[in-house]
Amino acid sequence: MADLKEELSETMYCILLSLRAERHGYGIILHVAEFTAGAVQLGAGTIYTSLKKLERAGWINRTRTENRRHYYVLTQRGVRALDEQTSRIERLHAYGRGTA
Amino acid sequence: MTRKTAWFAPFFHPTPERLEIWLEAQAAQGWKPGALDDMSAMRLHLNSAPASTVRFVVDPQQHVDADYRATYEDAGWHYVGELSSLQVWSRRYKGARPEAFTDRSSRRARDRRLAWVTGALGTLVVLGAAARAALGLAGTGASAEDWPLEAGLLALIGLPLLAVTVALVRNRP
Repeated sequence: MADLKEELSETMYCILLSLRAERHGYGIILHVAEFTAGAVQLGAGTIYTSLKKLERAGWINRTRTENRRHYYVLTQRGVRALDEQTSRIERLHAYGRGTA
Repeated sequence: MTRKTAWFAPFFHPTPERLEIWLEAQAAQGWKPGALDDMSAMRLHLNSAPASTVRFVVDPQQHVDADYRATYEDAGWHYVGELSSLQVWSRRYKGARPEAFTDRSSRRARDRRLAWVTGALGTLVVLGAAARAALGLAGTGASAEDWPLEAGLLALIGLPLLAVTVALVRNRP
């Protein structure tokens, strides 16, 4: 768990943000492209690998399978991890802007 | 000629990147892999086709489920087949070469998955070669005089596998 937090990349952070609502792999790709205005384009291999990693860490849960697609959503642990990461990024942003 | 055969392609192009580049070069010359089967890792049939710009992705995944395929297919990839636990995908493109692994950590995870396989197999085979040499030198076992040939053959298989493992572990995209 600690390792995952330490290495949490922009990609992982965007996937966590997207999974505040239930989505499947390709749904995450589309949603992330939309809310980042195309700045973050996730590949299918990256999504699949990242979802497995997040599921193993207990940050996301598989909710259902429909038409071959697994749907995922954040767990309570995932919500806490996302909050912590957001606070960390806000802190770093404040340091960068000299407002801390 | 409408078909040609490439022998031991995954062994001559042992990392995913090299195999992808080789497949893409074949497609650019008008050769595309046909249906993959259990023997394709040894003899890969390439069918004649119009030359095209195709991105190939080689993804070492041993256990894949329907969701894995659905995720790739939804994203526009065409499933080519499996080459000894390497899942092969293709996608025609114009402009920028599309990527299936879009961040460093998932690319490294992909290399690590393959490194585990080649490392474990290479270690076993090299240990087998060492054991055969030790038994041969000790003069025990049947046909003890054949040990140089047998140990040499095993080493010839095992050492390249270990070399590929080292290349994958050192690879930092």
